Amino acid sequence: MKDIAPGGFSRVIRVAMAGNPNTGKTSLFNAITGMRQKVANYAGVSIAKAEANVHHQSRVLSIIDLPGIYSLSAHAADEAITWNYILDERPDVLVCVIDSCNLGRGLGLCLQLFELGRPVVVALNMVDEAAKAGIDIDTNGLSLCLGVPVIATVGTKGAGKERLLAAIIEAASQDVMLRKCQYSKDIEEAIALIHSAVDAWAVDDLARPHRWLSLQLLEGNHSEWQRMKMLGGSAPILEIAKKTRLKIEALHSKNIELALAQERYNYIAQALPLFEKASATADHLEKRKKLTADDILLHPVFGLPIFLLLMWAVFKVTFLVGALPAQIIREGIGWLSATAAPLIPIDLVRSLIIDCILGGVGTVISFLPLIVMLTVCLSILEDSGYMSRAAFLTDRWLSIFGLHGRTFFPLILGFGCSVPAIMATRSLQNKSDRIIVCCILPLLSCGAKLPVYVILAAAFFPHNADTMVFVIYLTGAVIAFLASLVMKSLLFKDKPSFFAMELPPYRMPSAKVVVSQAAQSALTFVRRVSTIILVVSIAIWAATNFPRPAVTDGSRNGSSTVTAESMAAQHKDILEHSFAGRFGHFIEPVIAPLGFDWKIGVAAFSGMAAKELTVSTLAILNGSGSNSNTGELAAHLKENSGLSGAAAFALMLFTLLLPPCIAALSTIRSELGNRWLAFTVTYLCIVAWVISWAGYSIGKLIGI
Amino acid sequence: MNTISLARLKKGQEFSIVSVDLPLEIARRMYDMGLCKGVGGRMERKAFLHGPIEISIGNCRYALRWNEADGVLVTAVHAGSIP
Repeated sequence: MKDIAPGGFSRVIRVAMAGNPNTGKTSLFNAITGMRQKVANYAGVSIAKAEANVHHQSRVLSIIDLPGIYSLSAHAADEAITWNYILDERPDVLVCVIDSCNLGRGLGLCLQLFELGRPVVVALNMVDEAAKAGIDIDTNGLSLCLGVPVIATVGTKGAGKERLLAAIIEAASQDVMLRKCQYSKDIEEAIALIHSAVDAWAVDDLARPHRWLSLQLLEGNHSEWQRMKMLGGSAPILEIAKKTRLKIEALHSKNIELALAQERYNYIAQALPLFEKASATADHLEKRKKLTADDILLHPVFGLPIFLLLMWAVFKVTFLVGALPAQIIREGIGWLSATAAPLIPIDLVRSLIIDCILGGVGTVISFLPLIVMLTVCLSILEDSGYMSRAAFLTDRWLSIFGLHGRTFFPLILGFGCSVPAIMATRSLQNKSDRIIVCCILPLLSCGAKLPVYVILAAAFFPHNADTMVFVIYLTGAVIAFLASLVMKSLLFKDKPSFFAMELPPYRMPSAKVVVSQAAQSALTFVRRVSTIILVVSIAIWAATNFPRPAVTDGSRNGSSTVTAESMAAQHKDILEHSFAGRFGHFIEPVIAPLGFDWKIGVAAFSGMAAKELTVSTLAILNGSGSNSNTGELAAHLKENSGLSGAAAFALMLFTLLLPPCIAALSTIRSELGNRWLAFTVTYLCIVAWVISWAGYSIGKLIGI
Repeated sequence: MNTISLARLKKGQEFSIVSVDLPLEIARRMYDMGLCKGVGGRMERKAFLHGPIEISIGNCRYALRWNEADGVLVTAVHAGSIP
C-alpha cells in the first residue's frame, strides 16, 4: 500500500504524541524538548498542539504534542485538533503515550492508531507510579505481542527519553508492518467488503489508509463520511458501507460503534494478563480500609464547605503573601518619583515620566507579586489532582445553572486570565456548553481586574478592603451563573449535558512545575506591562495633554512665577481641552447616572485595551502634575478624584462587568466567531451599566 | 444473577458491567473511557440525593452523574461493604 509508506527518509522526522488525557504527554514532551508547556494533574490541560525540534543521533526530530483523546471519535474541539493533525498531516511516527497504571485503556487507543498504518512507538509513561501501585508490566513481552517498540518512561523525571528518541528514529526508517486489531469474523468480512470497494475506487487524493477508511465507513464516522461525499464518485461505496452496517447491527443487535469498541476491549482483556502482573497484595487491600484523602475531601457533607474554604484560602494567601513585596515595589516607585521629579526641568517631560510612566505603569507593575501568588496557589491545586474533585463536588450545583462539573476547569482558569480559560473550553464536548462558558467567562474577575479593585478598595474602604474585593469577586461569579442560566433556558434548550470524568490520583505538586508556571505568569505580566500597557498609557497621557489650549502655551513660555492654584487650574484647563477630555464629556451623559464624572469614564473605557490600564489612567488623570511626590495612588485618589464611596463601588462593578480586554475579545472571536463576539459585547455592556447603576444606588442608600 | 443499575449499588460493593443503556453518544464516551461490558469495578462513594457517584476500575477512578450511572446495568459481584 503506497499511501501508508513511511516518510522517514526526509531529514526532519515529524513525531506526534498521542494518548489518553492526563497520561503525561506534555510532561514527556517538555522532558524531551526542554519546552515549558503547561502541565497539570487533570484531563484536558493541553488544548492546542505544541511543536519543538530536537536533535538526536544527528537527526532532527520535530516533536508535536497533541491534546489527549479517548478514541477516534472526536467529541470535543480539542480531540478534533488531534485527529485532524494525525490524519491530515500524516506524521512520520506516532508515539502512543500510555499511563502504565491504566494499560488496558491505553492499548485500546493504541489499536486504533495501528490501523492508520504509521510507525508507532509506545511510551509506557509513569512506570514509577505503576511500580508503587504493585503493577509489573513485562515491556519486552508487550513489545513482542504488539510488534512495536515499547519504552518505559517517566515524563516528569525525563527517564527513558533517550531510548524513546532512539526507538523513534529507528521506527521512522523501517517499513511499517501492518498490525491491526482482529475483529470477529462477520465484522472482518464486512470490513473486507468495503475495503475491496475502496481499493477498486482508489482515487489519488484519498490520503487515507484503505482498511482504516473502510472501518470508519462501517462505523459511520461522520467527518469521514462527509469527506468521501466531497471526493465524488464515492456514492456506490457509501451505499455498500451503509448496507453492511445495517446488516451487522441487525446481526449483533447492537450499535456498530459500541460493538467495535467492545471487541477492541475484549481483544485487550484477553491479552492483558500475559504481560501485566498486578499484585493486589494484602498490603494493597489494607490500604483500602484506611481513610483516604478523598474520604475527607469528597465527603458528602463536608466536601463542599472544604472546597469553599480552600478557595477562600487561595484568595487570602494571595493577598497576605503578596502584600509585602507589593508594598516594597510601591514604595520604591514612590521614592523614585520623589527623587526624579525635581531633576526634570521640562513640565511636559516630567508629567510624562512621573504621572504616566512611574505613577501609572509603575502602579500596575506593583501588582506583580499578587499575580504570581495567585498563579502559585492555582497551580498547586491544579497539580495536586484536587481540581477534578472540585469538579465532582460542584457538578450538582453547577448543573442548577445549566453548567456541569467539566466546565469547572475553564471557569477556575478564568480567575487567572480569560484568554487561556476561553481556549480551555475546547475540552467541553457540547458546543452549547462551550458557547455559554465563553460568554460568561468575562464576568469572572481575571487577574488584571484585581489591581483596579485593590486600589479602589484601599482608597475608599480602608477598613474592610479585603471584604469589598471579595464581594466583587462573588458578584462576578453570581452574575456569571445567572447569565448561564438565562442563556441555557433561552438559547440552548437542548438535552441536559453529560458528566463522566476521570479522577486522577493525588500527586505531590511538583516544585518545578509550580515555579515554572509562576515564572511564566510573571513574564507574561511584565511583557504586558512593558508593551501594551506602557504604549496605551503613553497614548492616554498624550490624549489628556493634547491638543493644548492656546492660553496654556502662552503661560508656559512666559512667567515662571505660578502659584499652586493657578497650576491646578491650568492642569484642569489642559485636561478639559484635550482629546480625552472631549471624549469624556461626550460619554458623560451615559455614565453620569453611575456616579462617574468624565475622568472616571475615560479610565473605565481605557480598561478595554487591558484592564490594568484603568489604574494607570486614573493615575494619569488625577496626577497633580509636577507636584506628585508619592507613588501611593490610593490616598491620592480619594482626595482628588471626586468619587463618592458608592461611585467607587460602582466603578469596581463597572470594571468587573464591562467587556473584557482586546486579547480576550479576540480569543472569543477566534473560538466562536463574530456573531457570538457581538452578542458578548452587547450583553456585557448592558449588564455592566445596569448592575453598576444598581450598585451605585444601593451604595448611596446605605451611605457607603 | 440479577442485574441492577450501577446507581443502586452500596458503597464498597463490587460489580461487573453487563450493559450500558444510554444514548449512543454518551454510551460511546463511556466505552471509550473504559466502561464497557465485562469490566469489573467497585463502588467507592455516593453523594446524597442522587448526587454524583465515584467508582473505581482497576487503578482508575471515575466520577459519574447519578443519571448516567443509572443507565449502566451491572451484576453485584461481592456484597461485602467495607466501612
